[in-house]
Amino acid sequence: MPVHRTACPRNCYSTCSLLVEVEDGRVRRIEPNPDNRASGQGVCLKGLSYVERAISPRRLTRPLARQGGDFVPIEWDEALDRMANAFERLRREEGPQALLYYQGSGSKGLLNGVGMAFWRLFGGCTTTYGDLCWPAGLEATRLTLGDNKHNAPWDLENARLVVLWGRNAAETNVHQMDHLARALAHGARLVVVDPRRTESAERADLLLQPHPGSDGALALGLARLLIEGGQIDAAFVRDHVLGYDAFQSMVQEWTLERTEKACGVPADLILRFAELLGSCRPFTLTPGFGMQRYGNSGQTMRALLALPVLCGQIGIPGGGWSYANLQTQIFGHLKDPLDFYPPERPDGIVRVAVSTARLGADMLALEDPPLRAAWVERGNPIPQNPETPKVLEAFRRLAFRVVVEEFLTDTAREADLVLPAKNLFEQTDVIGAYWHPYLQLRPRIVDPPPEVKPESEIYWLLAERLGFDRQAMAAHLVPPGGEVAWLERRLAPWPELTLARLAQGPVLAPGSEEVAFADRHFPTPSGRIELWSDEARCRWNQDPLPRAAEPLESPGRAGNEAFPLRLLTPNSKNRIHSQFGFLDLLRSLEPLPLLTLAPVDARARGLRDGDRARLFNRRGELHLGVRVDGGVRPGVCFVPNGFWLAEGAVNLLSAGRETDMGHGAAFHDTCVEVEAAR
Amino acid sequence: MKAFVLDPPRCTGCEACRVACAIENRLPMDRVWRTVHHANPEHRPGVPAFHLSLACNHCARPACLEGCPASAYRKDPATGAVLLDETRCIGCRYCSWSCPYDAPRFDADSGVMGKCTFCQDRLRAGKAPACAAACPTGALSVETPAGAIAEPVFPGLFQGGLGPALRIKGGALPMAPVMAGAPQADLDEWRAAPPERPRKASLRSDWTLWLFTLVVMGLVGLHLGWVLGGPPLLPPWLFLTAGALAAGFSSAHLGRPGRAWRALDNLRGSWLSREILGFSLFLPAAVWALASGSRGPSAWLGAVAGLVLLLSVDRLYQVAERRPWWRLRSAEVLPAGLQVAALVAGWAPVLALLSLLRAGLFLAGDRRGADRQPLVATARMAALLLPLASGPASLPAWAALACLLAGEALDRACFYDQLSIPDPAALVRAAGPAVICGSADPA
Repeated sequence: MPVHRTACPRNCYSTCSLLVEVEDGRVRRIEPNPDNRASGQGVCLKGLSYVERAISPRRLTRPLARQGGDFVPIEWDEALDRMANAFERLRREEGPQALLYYQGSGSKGLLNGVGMAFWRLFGGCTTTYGDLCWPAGLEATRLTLGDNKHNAPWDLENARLVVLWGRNAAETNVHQMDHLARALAHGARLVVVDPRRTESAERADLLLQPHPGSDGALALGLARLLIEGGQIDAAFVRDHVLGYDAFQSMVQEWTLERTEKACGVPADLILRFAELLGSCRPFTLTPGFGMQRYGNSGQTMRALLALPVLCGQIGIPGGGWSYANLQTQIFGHLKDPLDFYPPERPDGIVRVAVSTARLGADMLALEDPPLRAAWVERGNPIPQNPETPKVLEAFRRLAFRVVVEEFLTDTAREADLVLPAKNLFEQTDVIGAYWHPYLQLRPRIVDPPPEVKPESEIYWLLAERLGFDRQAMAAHLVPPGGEVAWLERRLAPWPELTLARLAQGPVLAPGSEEVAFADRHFPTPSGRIELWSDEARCRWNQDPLPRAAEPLESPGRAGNEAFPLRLLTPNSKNRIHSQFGFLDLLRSLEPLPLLTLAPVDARARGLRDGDRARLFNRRGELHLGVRVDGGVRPGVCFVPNGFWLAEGAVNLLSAGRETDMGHGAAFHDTCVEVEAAR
Repeated sequence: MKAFVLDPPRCTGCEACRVACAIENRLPMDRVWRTVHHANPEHRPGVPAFHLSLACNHCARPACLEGCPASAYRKDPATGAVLLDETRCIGCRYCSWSCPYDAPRFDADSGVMGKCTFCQDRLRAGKAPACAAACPTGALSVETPAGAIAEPVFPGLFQGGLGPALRIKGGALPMAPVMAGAPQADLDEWRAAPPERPRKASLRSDWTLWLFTLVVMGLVGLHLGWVLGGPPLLPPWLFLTAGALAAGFSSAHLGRPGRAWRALDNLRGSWLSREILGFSLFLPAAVWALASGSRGPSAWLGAVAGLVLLLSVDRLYQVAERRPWWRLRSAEVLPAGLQVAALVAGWAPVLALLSLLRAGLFLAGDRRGADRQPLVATARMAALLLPLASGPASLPAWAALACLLAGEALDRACFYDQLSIPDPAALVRAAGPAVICGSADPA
């Protein structure tokens, strides 16, 4: 059976290298490619399930057009004609910016850039800024260190202490558990900070469960203990850190008592954590995304990052701040997060005017021109963006919606036209990663179903219909079958990066560093690590120091008394956001979302394990089965995100609001009440 | 030879191994050959939560193979894999009882068992089985052991000297993280009793076997009593009818009744084969003798075959429960059959001895099921002792016998109700709280 090398393009840390066996034109088997040092140990259950996903009977294989409340298959010619007519009229009557071009993070690849090139040739469009996932942390890191990069994943084995802060790698980055296991086998210690007793926490020496959103306070309290105890790296701070004196006097207010009260973590656990930070070096702090999804989270992440900085853990093997490793982002002018901020000088063609976090409200509010149409690809914004009811309302108000999709998602169901999307095996592309530093080829290894066209081909055909200039098309778009030549042009600036070389397996990005910042070069305005950031003030109107603040929607705040529980909406191992969960291979593992809450909170509401509950706030409600869990912090409940509307989509409850910096989505700044369902 | 290697601290319970098994063997997820058992999924503070991924351990002394009446199992000499020949399997499901790792699975569609093949083809091609190849954390792998493998020890893992080809890496027991404790008062209330998992065997699922064992016990007892000088209490036609019905009931639970004849294939190793041989000889011999009215060779053949039959029935359950033969339970059918025989033959001292012995066993038995209820216990004791107290002479024989049999039916029901066949799901569930772990007390 022929074996092909490829890579998984999902929005996931691991970005695995895969060995794919094809039998009779179908994917029969998927195995790990050990050439990938970061994730070569094995393929996760989602990666394995591509065997089903590629040929699932639920996969869309023909264009569908809305007819009343239903969809009917149509021919491509008709689909292209309908789109060309609708877009032509829109451009003429409303202007091109009346169309929203929305791209999600569902599939990585350089060819994704063709979409924006098309809309520019079209005359423009409206698009989003910000990102759902991780911008507050990216911006906090950028402000502090100047760049988002970290040590290679396998360097974790050199750590003597690993801190998983708000990160449940066992479910969201299972391959990190392999490196963690090696570190622990060498005698490293593990501290987990998470309001939940997660699978990752089972290996921990110490589990701290702060109030959600109080992580910044915990970090500042720890910083004070380390400073008091003389356990910071004074020489490193002197040589490389800006703003230490101001920081040091600011943290004086975070006494142990105050920290204990703000975080709800017993003082002795805080002391034990500080002791480990002070005595186990090198240490790696690996923050997750959860605690940077609050209104205060950019500052929270800056406070956390201060810990490895104060202890001189940046730029050394086994040490550091492992948040985002963007060393494969070599193709654009700007790296994340700058590339998803609104441009300082709008070009008048692309209107970057809709906040991803406030998608529904911003879409509804746009004027001059108001939005009339939308094109959605690689995303499922209706259940996945905050405040689903608003997003749904905004999409329903549009006159013409096109969704490119592999499956009939909640967003595709709202479309006027659904175009069947290729999958990862059906078009050649090159992908990067954000945890390990490998660039990878994702070659075409099977033919798509006859009526499935890659997006780049759809754009080409549409451009022909719309009569775009042939020369401009040739320069900016990709003709059918022209992917390889197009990719070769993109790779041309790096002679060491050829498609032939990538075809052999994962390739370290040019210039990538195994130990990030080993040269102590910090591209911040001052050239030093900035605990004091003027940019925090001028760009985000935040304190230049990472002060800790309460989240916006705290149960303690006035007006919130009716909603005393914090709702967290983490990812689970059985899905990547709203993908995968519906496959037969995976559905039985987690058929429906469950509401998990602490025994004391369940008892107060007369709920027992297995009961049904109504989870609600002012924005919406969900009816879910109850799971009572002795490991979740009282006052906290959680429901995994990624389930569809019919199953229970958590963003019916979240608020469309941004994080304090980075234009992220403050998903977790959400309070709810729970009652027994009648 | 190959062996699975488990590194439990690395296992995150992700179940990629099960998905890989489903894909490799083209199985639906509810029928895959590997199970990941989860300890303490409810996260009781201070109790570790861990996982145990188990498929077939391809034992050196496979219980499935030894007990299979149809000799449907074999052990591959090259890889050590224990393999099932599905064309020989009669679907009796006895291997699912005798395997303490729960490896053989019944497939209701095909009527036969299915089990892990160790991915034979992959092993021959020098590749790891699909489950091990997929494991993203390195928790599950295979190796070629240098010599004999020591019996693996881990909380929740059955130990019984079967020689499983399984090594558990490292020696550390799972630990719970140190964390702030939850208020103890809430712990007891937070969950309803853990959902009752379907047990491997129970009265509800195996009532046809309850009926079969009860009827054959009665028939053997009656026949033996008659051979030993008692009256023939049943006419031959009724004796035959009862026996045929019992046989019908017992074969009704086979997945492939048409292959029932294969059940005689493993007389050397399987008590099930011996049971079926005993039954096949007993019924015609006893009916023939009864019809001819002669206590000649046919009657004695029937008596011996009947005793083999009852012994085999008891051994079947003892082996499945991994209970040594001398740890008798009161509802065992061999002593019950002897007691019926003693009653019929009018051997009062033997009857008294057996009654007292079995009453003692009943009282000493562990009380986990219906027999804990006073009414049931009283009825059981009365049924045992009444024929004795009144004396077989004063109580009409039929009444004493009816009394005895009613008691047997009750006790046998209790027996099925509390059959305790080792089941990894239950073992792992119980193992979490049993592990002594790091302090959950932050002070």
